[in-house]
Amino acid sequence: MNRFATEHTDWTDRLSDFMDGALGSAEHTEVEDHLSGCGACRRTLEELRAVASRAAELGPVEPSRDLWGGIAATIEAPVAPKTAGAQVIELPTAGQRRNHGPTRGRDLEEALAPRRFVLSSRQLAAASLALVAATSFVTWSLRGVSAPEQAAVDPVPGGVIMPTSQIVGPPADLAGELASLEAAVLDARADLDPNTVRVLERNLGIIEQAIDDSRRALAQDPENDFLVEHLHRVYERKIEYLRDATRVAESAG
Amino acid sequence: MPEHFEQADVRRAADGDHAAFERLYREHVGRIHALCIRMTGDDVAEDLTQEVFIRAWNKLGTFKGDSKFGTWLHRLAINHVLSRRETLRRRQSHRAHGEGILNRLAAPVRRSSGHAMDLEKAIGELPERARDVFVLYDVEGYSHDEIAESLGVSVGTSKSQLHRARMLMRKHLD
Amino acid sequence: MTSVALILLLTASSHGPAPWAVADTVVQIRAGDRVVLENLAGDVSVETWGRQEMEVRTDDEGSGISVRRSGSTVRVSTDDRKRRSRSVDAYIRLPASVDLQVRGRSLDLVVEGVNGRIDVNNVSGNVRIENPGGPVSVRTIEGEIHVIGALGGVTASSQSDDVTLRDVRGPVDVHSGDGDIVLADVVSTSVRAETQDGDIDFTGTIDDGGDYGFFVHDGDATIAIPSGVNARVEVSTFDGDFESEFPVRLQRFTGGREFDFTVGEPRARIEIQVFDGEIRLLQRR
Repeated sequence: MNRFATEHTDWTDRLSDFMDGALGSAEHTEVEDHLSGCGACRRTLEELRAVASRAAELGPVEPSRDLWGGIAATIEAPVAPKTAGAQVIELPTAGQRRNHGPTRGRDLEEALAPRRFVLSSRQLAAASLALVAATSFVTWSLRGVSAPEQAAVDPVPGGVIMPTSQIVGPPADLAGELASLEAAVLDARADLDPNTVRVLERNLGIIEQAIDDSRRALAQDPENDFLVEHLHRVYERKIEYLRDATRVAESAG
Repeated sequence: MPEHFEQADVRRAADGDHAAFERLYREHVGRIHALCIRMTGDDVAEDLTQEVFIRAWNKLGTFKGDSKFGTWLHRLAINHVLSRRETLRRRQSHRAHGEGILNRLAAPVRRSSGHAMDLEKAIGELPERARDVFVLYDVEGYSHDEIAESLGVSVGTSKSQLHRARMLMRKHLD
Repeated sequence: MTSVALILLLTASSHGPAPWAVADTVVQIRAGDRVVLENLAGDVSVETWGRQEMEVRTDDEGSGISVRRSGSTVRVSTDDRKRRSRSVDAYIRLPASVDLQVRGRSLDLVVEGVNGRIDVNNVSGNVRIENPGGPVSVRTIEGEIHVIGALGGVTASSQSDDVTLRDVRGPVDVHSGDGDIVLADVVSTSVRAETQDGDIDFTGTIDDGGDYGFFVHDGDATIAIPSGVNARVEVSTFDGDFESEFPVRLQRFTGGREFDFTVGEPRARIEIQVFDGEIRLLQRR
């Protein structure tokens, strides 16, 4: 290898650290200066970035067969849950909470921490309409308080949450339109280019995830009006997506 | 899965509830299996995935809840893969010789797109150490410090192997 | 890429005929005309000028783009099916008063200054609309949507990407399936924003008689409103935190995670529903 090539390799070898922000400031500047005058290194850097970016996008890979049977056969015979009926999920403390709010808010929250409301659904239900929070900054944690309480008295045998697909289907007023649109999209699929199909499927996957989340929640808290409304709204959005898909197929066909 | 559902399932599973553990398995199997494939290749990945979940079941009592269950399971999987893959490869090699080549060529069903499969294939062709670092850093997002500790190498080695892997992977870009 | 292309186009137009402008078409535009752009792919920039005519420039003589009038509708389209997949950059100037309808497949679109109704249906590509005087509707499968300085309200939906509205007046109805929604400096009595997987950030006025709804499945809602606001606030969440910089006087509980309260007088309605995420009601400073 000639001297130029050796020197150039020295630069190239630092590009991964450069893009990962792992160089000291002086060395970072040195590489930056080199990049400004070296097209080959700029190209290499772009390629390295593309590799890392593609790698970061890689997702889960399902096994080719269901492995659960082998696992279930190996693990010991089931024993009765010791804590059934007493499931409690810890509420986050002020320090554990995610907080993207303004600094002033965080400072105030710290200052008010002893007075901060952390209310379970039972406490909330017991509170009267006259409850007044007179502080100028209020934070209530409503994170998943009643779900385990509901689950503990779940009428399903064994306390196991029933598969959600058996509990909540599409809302009756939307089911017919959903079915016909789904059939139309399946028919139209051949008219769509593969990239559009991929994008539409990914987007519908997000909707399906939202539906699944909502169904699970409803399975635990069937009387929750908000969840019913929320699930209905997500289904309406699914209808919109399917309409979009048919529209795209019509214009492509 | 919302976090508090998962926490409840972890508690139930730790108390012996199979159904809860199956839900955890279904939630996480894709990510664990992907890690096993990328660090070992297809041949032994499913065996390793099964072993990881059996090991997780046995060790659930030691899960303190300091981190998310997924994070705990993932670290357990990395350690298990690193300690077991050579043994499983030898066993698989013997089995393959006995059963014939077609079984080895049977393509697994995957969720990934063709685009992603090319990248997966390219990862499989990397030298092992470079592949380990590449998977843990660029795919899984671990730091060099964490990787160095898991693999028993220096941080410098982790960085140089990552660079080596990325340079080799460049030719697989479109 | 869009912005780079736009800069090139603008630079070219201000310095005489651009080298890429090899195919020019000019047609007369009458009051009440509607311009329809359809079956286009590529970077398309639409600007307004003082003449009662529309000029279409493209970068490709063989683009197959045609301009046809039918009654009050003027269509700019690629008719040749074989050419539809080809990307063409187009630069269009037209009178501000027209209604503009765009049907695109893979289109990076910039529209500046149109005062008529704007209706965009795209499949992929980013859409940016600046200073529209009339109502705007944008719908895309994949691509970001930006609307700046709208006076006549905005309806916008992107299945895959962020939707950003800045300095907007009139009714607002926006959706993102997998992206953030930013509503900055909105003056409206009707706002509805929904995202399945992303955050909503709102800053704007809350006017008497107004109705403001924010709906998130997985993400946070941050609503920053003036300190002197008068509104009834209805909050619902399944799994999340709520924090408020306003004094809270509870008026309703249902199910433990739904409650209402009033800030000042109940002259407007603010509805915030987050399935899994944080809700923040902040005082705008």
